[in-house]
Amino acid sequence: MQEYSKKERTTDIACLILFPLGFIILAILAIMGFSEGFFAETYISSTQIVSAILVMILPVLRLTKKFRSPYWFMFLVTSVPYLHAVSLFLGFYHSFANWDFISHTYSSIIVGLIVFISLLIIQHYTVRIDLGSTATILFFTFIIAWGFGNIWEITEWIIDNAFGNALMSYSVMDTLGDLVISDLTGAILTDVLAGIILSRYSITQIVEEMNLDRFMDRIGKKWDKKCGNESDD
Amino acid sequence: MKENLVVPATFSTLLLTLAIFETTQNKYLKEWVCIILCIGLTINILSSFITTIHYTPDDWIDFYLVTPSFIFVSFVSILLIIGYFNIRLDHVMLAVFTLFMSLSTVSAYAGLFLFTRVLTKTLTDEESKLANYYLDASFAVVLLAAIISIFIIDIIIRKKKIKLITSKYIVTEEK
Repeated sequence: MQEYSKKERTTDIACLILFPLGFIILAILAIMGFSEGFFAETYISSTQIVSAILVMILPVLRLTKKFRSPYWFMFLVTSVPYLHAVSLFLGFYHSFANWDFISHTYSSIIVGLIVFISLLIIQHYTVRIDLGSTATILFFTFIIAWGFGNIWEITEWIIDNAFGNALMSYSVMDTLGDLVISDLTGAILTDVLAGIILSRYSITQIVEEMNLDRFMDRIGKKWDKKCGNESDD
Repeated sequence: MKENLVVPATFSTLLLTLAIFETTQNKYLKEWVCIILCIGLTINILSSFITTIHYTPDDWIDFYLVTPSFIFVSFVSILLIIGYFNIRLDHVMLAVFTLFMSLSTVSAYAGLFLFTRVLTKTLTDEESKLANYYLDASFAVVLLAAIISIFIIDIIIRKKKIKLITSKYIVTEEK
């Protein structure tokens, strides 16, 4: 496991401050009435605040040494709420015809990559769980990435019901378009990307870069112990 | 034959064929597992027929009835996949894969069935909004039913003291 250097710590503190800062500025501007979006200021500013909290999770995990995610991973994950929140603030969903498709597809790719990496970590650090060949890992990545689209649609539905408005889902075609076109496209693109990655690097090479040894060794052993049969003991 | 029968019935029939094949071959899955799968899939196909008979163009209740059956179909699919591709999972991973397989299947179902239906009909904005809520609600039903099924799977496995799914259901080799 690599040492946690001072430089890394400084970078993590900077990320912890800078990641939510953009959202906080946008939230203040929305409250002041500067947003270009077609939605109520309360909705736009609430989205910025929730996003600000979400983007702090990965830097906090790094600082507390619970999960030292690679920086490229942290930036990719952070880009998703930024894309949504900035688009909402600037009214891109209404200004550009295919913006919803782009936003959904991009989010689906990032979620898919998180799923893909999680499956590789499970495959690498557990002995008794075996996800099989590259093809089956890609298959599971695909179904989970696509399935997450449904969870997002349910979230939209819950928010709409809670606020009593069609803030997030507009029509059945909107939901179907998100699920069947955007999310499916995202899941397919993720699989293509994951397939290219796996053809160039081994699972060990990908996972060991993440410095998860200490954390995952413990979890992996626990998992293996839990998976064991009485006959194996 | 109504269009909403095609997807679940074809999918279930295909899986039923595989399950029957497994019962006769007894190669990957245990016999008692295959018998349960065959009974479940037969019920699933029959329920598809029943919902189709009672289907009316303005009645979205069939969606509530058909979608939970995807959980069972997904569970069967995952069991067959882990059997054929020599995958080893614990019950948590099995439950997670079943959950997401259910959600992906319902997306595919929604895409094939509803897109055809929506595109061939002219819906008013109000009807479209209502349909959207039914659609999202049906996803919520699947999610809720899948979570409940995870608990049921967990309880059954714990009760039967099966900790590693694949070693009891399927013959595998060490990684």
